[in-house]
Parts: sequence; C-alpha cells; structure tokens
Amino acid sequence: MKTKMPITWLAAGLLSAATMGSAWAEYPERPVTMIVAYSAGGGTDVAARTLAPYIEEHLGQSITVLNRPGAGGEIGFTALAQADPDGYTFGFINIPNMLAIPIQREARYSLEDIDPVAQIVYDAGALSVRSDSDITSLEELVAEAKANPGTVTYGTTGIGSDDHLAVLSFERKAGIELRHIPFPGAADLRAATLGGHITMASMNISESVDDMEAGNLHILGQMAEERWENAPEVPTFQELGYDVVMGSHRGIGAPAGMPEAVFETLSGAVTKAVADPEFQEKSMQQGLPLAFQGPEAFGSQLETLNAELKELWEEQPWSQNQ
Amino acid sequence: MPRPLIELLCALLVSGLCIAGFFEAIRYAGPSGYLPKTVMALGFLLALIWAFQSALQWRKEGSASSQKGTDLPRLSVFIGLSIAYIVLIPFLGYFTATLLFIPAVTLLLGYRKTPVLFGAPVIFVVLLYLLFGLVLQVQLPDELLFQLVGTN
Amino acid sequence: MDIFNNILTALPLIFSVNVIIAMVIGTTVGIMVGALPGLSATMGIAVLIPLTFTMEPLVALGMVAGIYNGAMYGGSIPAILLRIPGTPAGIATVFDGYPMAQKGQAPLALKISLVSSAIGSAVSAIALLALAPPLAAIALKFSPADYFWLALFGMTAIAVLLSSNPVKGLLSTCLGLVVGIVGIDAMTGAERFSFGNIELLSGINIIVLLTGLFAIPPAIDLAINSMTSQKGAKLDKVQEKVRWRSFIPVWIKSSILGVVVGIIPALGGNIAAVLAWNEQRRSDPDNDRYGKGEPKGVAAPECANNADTAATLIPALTLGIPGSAVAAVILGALLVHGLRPGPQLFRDDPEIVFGFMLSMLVTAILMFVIGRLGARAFVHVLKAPPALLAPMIISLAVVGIYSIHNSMFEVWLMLGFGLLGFGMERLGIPTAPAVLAVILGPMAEESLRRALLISGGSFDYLVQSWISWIIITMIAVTVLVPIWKRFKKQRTSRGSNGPSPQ
Repeated sequence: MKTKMPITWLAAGLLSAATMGSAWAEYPERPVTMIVAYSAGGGTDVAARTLAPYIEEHLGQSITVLNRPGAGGEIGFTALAQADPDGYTFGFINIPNMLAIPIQREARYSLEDIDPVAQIVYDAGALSVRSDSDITSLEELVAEAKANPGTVTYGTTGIGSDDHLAVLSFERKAGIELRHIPFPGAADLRAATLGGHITMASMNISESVDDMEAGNLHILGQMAEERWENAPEVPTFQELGYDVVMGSHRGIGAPAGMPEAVFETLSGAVTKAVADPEFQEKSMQQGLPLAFQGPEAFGSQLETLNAELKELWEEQPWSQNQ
Repeated sequence: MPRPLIELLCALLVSGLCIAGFFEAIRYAGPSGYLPKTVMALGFLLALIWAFQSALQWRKEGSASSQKGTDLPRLSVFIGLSIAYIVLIPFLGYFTATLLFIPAVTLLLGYRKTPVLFGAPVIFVVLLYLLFGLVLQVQLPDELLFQLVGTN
Repeated sequence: MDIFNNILTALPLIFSVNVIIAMVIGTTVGIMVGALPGLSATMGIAVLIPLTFTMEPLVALGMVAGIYNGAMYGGSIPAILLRIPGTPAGIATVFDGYPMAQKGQAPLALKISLVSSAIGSAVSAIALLALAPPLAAIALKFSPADYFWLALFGMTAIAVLLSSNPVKGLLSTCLGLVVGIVGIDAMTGAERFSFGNIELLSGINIIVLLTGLFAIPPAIDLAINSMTSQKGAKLDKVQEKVRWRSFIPVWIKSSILGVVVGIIPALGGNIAAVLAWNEQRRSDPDNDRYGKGEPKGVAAPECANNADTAATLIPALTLGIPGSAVAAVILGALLVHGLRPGPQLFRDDPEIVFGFMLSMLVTAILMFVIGRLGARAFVHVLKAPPALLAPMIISLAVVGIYSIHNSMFEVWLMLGFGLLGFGMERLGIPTAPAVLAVILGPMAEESLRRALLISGGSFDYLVQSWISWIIITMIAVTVLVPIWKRFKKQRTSRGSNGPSPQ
C-alpha cells in the first residue's frame, strides 16, 4: 500500500490541475461522462447510447455512458446535480420525472442545480382503448366518466409517471374522475390493456402506435401541440377542446454553473449531433419521436411544466407519502 | 455458550425487531400497510415459538451440551479483512485492492507456499480485468479517476 | 407451411462465419457470467448491448442467445462445486448437486447438469420456433387476479424448502417478504422500510440478496476450515456408469414444466427449477434419496431452468411483453437494431426473428460442446487451496454486485446479507425460502391490490376467470395431496398395528 500512495496522490494532483485548467484550456481535452439515470438496456439507455457516438463526433472526445439507476431516476439526477460543472459530466434527463420527484418527496437534488442543454425527444402522452371497446372518442369517454364517476379504469406505468400526471391533468381540465391502476412498466400495461383487463391505457404515443397499426388498439388522442408525423390520423387533445399537453421529454442536462464557453461547445455539439442525418435515420428505426429544442426553449418549457405540476399537486397529491 | 441459549437470544432479538418493524409499518397509510403489518405480526409470533422451543431445549440439555466453538480468530480475520477491502475499493480502485486483499487473507489464514500466494492473485486479477474491463466493459471505480469518488 | 419457409430462409443466414463466431463467444461468456456469483444473464446482456451497436443484427442476437443459454447452465457449476448458485435459477441445483460433489462425484454431477441443460434449452428453442404465435395469446389472458394465484402457487414451492423445523423456514420466508417490501410502494407511492435512504427507494435487487445469502457463507466456511482441509476435496478417478435412459422421463417432465412456466410472464427460471425438483422428488417412490446427492435431483432443475429460456421469449417477441428481466433486456438489444417486438416483427423481419430463434437452438448445442471442455477446467476449482478460494469468492461477489448498478451501497448490502446468511446457517435457518419470498411476495401483493383496485374492492373478481380456477385447483392439489398421503399412511400403519410396509 505504501508504494501505491505516492502514485495515487500524484494522479489526484494531476487530475485536479486538469480540472482547474479546463477553464482556459481548449475544452474538451479528455473523455466526457454521460450519466443515465436508468438501467442499462432500458428505453432511455438505448436512446442515450444511440445518440452518444454522434455527440462524440462533434465534440471530438469519447463519451463514457455511466448508468446510475434507482429511486425513479433520483440517484442519477443527484449524481448529475452534484457533478463538477466543468463540462466533463453531463447527463440524460427525463421530464416530467425530474420535475415530479422534488414535488412529491424531499429530493436529494434541486432543480436549480441542473441546467437544461437540449430537448432531444418529445414523446406525447396518449390515451388508447382496445379496438373492440365501446368508447371510440374522447367525447364518449368524458360522457361515460361523467355518467359513472370513478369506474372507468385506466392503467399507467406507475405513480407519478408522465402517463399518470397526464391523465390527472386531463381529469382536472375535463372535470371527470377515473380509476387509476398503476403497473410496473409499459409491457405489463400493454398486456393488461390488450387482454381487456382494464378499459384504457395511458401510454406514450410511440408505444401505442404499433398496436394501432396492427389493429389491436384505438388511440383516442395524443397530448402534443401538433400531431406526430408517424400518427397523423390521431387528433390532439387541444384540437378536441382539452388543453392537455403532456408526455415524456428526454433531453440533455448539465450541472449548473458551467463556464459559458464550455456550455456553448457542449450544446453546439449536441445540436449538431441531433441534426446528423444518420442519427435521424436511426431514431426513425427505433420509433423515437425527435423534437429538438435549444437551451432557452427547453428551459422555459420546463418552467411552465413545473408550475403546472405544482398546481396539480396542491389540488390533488398523486403520491401517498406519510 | 450452549447452543439453545444462543438460539433463545436470537429469537428474542428477532421478536424485538418485529415489534419495531410493526410500529414502523403502522405509519404506512391504507393498503400500503396491510402486508408489512401482517408480516411483522407473523414474524413476531414465529420468533416467540422459536424462543419457546429453544427455552425448552435449554432446560432439557442444561449447559452440558456446549457447541463445538467456531474458530473465532479466523472468522474475525476473514470478515475484518473483507470489510477493509470494501472500504478501500473506492480509494485504491478495484483491481489494486484485490491484488492486496487476496494474498493478505491467504497469508493470514496460514497458507505459506509463496509462488501460489503471489502468483495466483495476479493471474486472477488479470483474468478479471480481461472479463470485466475488456469483454463486459464495466465501469469499476477506476484506479485513477478520483473525481468520480465524490459522486459514488 | 409458413414457419418452414421462414426457417429455411433464415438457416443460411445464421450459418455465416460471423454469426457462428458470435455464438461461440456469446456462449462462452454466458457460461462464465453464469458461473460467477453476482453476475447474471441480465447483467451480461445489458452491458454487452452497447458493443453490439456496430454489428449486424443477427451477429448481435446470436451472441445474446449464447449468453442467455450459457448463463442458465453456468449457474449450476458453482452450485455443484461450492454450493453457491451462480444465478437465482441455480438454487435447486444445490440441493442434490453439492452433496454429489462432496461424495466425490463432482464430474458426474457437472455432466448431468450439462446434458440436462442442453436438452432443456433445445426443447425450449423448438417450442419457441413452432409455437410462438399460437401460444403468445395465452399470456394476454392472465388478469391481475390470475397473477395473484400464480404467485401463491409459486409460494407452495417454499413448503418444500422448509427444514425439519417449519418455524425456522417460515421465519426465513418472513425475512424474504420484508426485503421484498422495501422501497417505494408501486401502488401508492409510499416509501416503506427505506428509512429515508435514497438507495433503498428502488427496492433491494434479488441478485444482491442471493449473492449475499448464498456466496458469502460458503466463503466464510472455506476460510474457517482452510487449515483442516488444506488440500481441498478429492475427486473420484473412477468413471461412474450412468444409465442415461433412466433420465428420459425426468427430462420430458422438466422441460414441459420449464416451457409452461416460461410462457407465463413474471415467473421465471428460478421458480421452474424449484417446482421441477419438487415434482421429481414427489413422483419418485424412493424420495428419501433427494437432497442427499441423487443424480435425478440435479437433472430435473437444470433441465427446467434451461427450458425456461427460449419460452420466456415467446410473449416477448410476439407481443413485446417480456416475462422476465432478461427478456426485457433482450428486447432492448432488438430495439438497438431497429427491431420493434410485436406482431409486426414477424411480418416485417421474419428472417431475423427466425434467425434469432434458430440461434437459440444452435447455442444449446454449442453450449454442450463448450461446456464439456469447460467442465474439465472447472472441476479443478475444488483442488485450489481453500485459503485462496475464499477471498477470491469475495472479490468476485463484490465486482459482480458493483457492476449491476455501479453502486457501492449494494456491495455493502450484499456483505450484510452474507453475514446474516452465515448466522442463519449456524442457527439452522434455511436461506432458500427467503429468496423465493423476495421474488413472489411483491408479485402476490401487487397483483392482489391491483385486482382489487380494478374490481373496486370486490373479492368476486379473484375467482372469475377459468385460469384462476385452474391455478386454485393446482394449489389445492399440491397442498392437500401430501397431507392426504400422510393421513392414509398413518391409517394403514395403525390398521396393521406396526410400521408401514416399505
């Protein structure tokens, strides 16, 4: 152990010198870490690892993907918030999960500690029923729910998930009451809906569209501002008179307080990576609904969404915690 | 210590933990609390039966049947070194710590063939590095990446 | 036939050099990953996915198939040699495998395990190829109520694992249930038994518990006894003759069981193995020999857990519904290559789906070849000095657990469970019931509560479907038959006024 110590101290010294130097040296001069707050092999991980090589290309440095899953993303977001804002650590962020966690419990990170860099994917929420269901439109759903409050069942991928929050917001705006059945994941939810065990599924549009094409599911509406190009026949909630825009956003976030030049370089590389036609082609294959937004647009969207979620929580706390 | 007495003490400890767990579970509202409360109550009941069984056994055997003692020094050396090993991994890196840990344990357990003592761990670590570092590409606490330690 | 056409077009694709190499590498890595405590097929495939980005889809999927099959078999190696199940599915293999190794029959036990695993995998792959579309629909029929009964049925397997003192076995079950409760309650969002610790919020990973309870105590034992058994166990030089034909009924029964369990989402190889071991012991008239080194007690669980592999992919590929963590990760691997599982996969890319399913069959055969060569090397583990083996087991467990979630906390948790498991063994408390309870407890609780949510609190919903009734009947049979048998035995023995004739 004695022989090891000097080497490691020296290494530590070198590293801290490198960290301090990064402010004026040409960023980036060593590999960059991308934190993913979900398990390897999951949807977010696959999306992150698909994008990583294109960011590498435009950043001119290799990227190591580090999975820090757990506590619904909180462990990964905390790691991201606490990382040094030197540009060598950034992460994938999932909205609304990142916003909802601090609202529903005392979180170990704060939103101020994470700066939005870019939105990559916007996967709108959608309500779908089995194709042989009696309910064929949102109007009929609202009428049915008004006639029998609290009996129409809908499934989501869990308490506080974007699917759940989306329906809560819809319930509030339409003045109806539905019965929530949480499932552990999208696969279980799909199975229960296709098997007719629940009336309706609240799933993201990209998860529902294959079943619609196969004729198994009928999508009542999508919660986006504009219809997604892969599902042009599905009306948006806004078109039908319900102002609900909610879904799952995936984007890039960085620890707050980065030097401006470093932030510019990073966000520039991300912008170019998303615009890369090869990446666009790959996301198309995987069915990822790309929706790029720069730091300002993404940031202001997060603020609006956060205010809405807080209002929703005040009125109807969705998670039971002591 | 006679074995039934040890069992009796353990059973009482478990029943105590179950009571504590039950009170923790009371705070869980509605359906969230049903299973925790049931399990804790069941555990408490089982622990009481166990305590009763061991008490009977103890009375029957008295302190005559003392259990053949475990080798406490070796046990504590092994567990102590394992704990030290896990403490050191984030600081030294996994492979470095392993390279120190294995010969240390083997030596303290009384094994003396020098070539095996130092050769085997090196081969083992190289194999581990090939599997985890190269094939599986797992990100282990790296020997040099000190800035990661803070976030771990 | 459509299926035959698809198989014929896929055949030349998977016999290209690249795919074969990938399958060989995958199977080898799989056996290693399975054999190392703390590593599982799920983790092995998950970390390899990024490597497959640049590969052709079939090359990547061939590798995945190899890992999946190999890991299921690999888990039996340390289970037999060191009584450490390398994967959760290896628990039942310990029961008879380790006693065999202690009798000096380790090579024989490894051989039986390999043959049985290969047969199980092959049967499963054929079931996948032939039955995927028709069987897939069954998975959708299961309602939350049926899942609840299914979990209870799995729990009946725990009864088998209770030791001579049922109180202690049930206490171990309670431990498993408590560990299963830890974390955020999926149904309400309440935090239970997490004591404000963020790392506990997502619950305790089954691999952490398994590795702690099963890998650490044998390591401690090795360390304590390292002086008395300096040389390690001896091996039989004499090759024992095995009557392979007597295993055929075991294989048939266990593979069918494995396939059925595999198709039903949420159960898995571990349950299949325990049920198969239990069924084999129940049906053998000479059932006292089980748990003491009966070769058929190794064949049954190993055949069943491998028969589970490809069968799990039936609902995963055809409906996009993964029945287990491994299947979910495999779907991730498909997605990377732009292959979205579901009915459209069979329509749009039949050559790839059928190629993948065929590679499940081919890797079953490869596993047999590689395993034969490997087994010779593995047996030498027993010759290693225990003082060296003990710390190596700790190092492997540490790196395995760390690489699941890159979390040091879970390493500590694993060590804690290890010390607990050591204490439990010393007190005569069996550890296997805890592991089954961790798997089945949350499933039973969640599906019961989900069923009651759907029905609005009405218990009628629990007995509405015919599937529920079938499972309830199965539970009744497994619970009542042994009781009835004992009762009959007592009556006959009382009638003849003496010990019952054997």
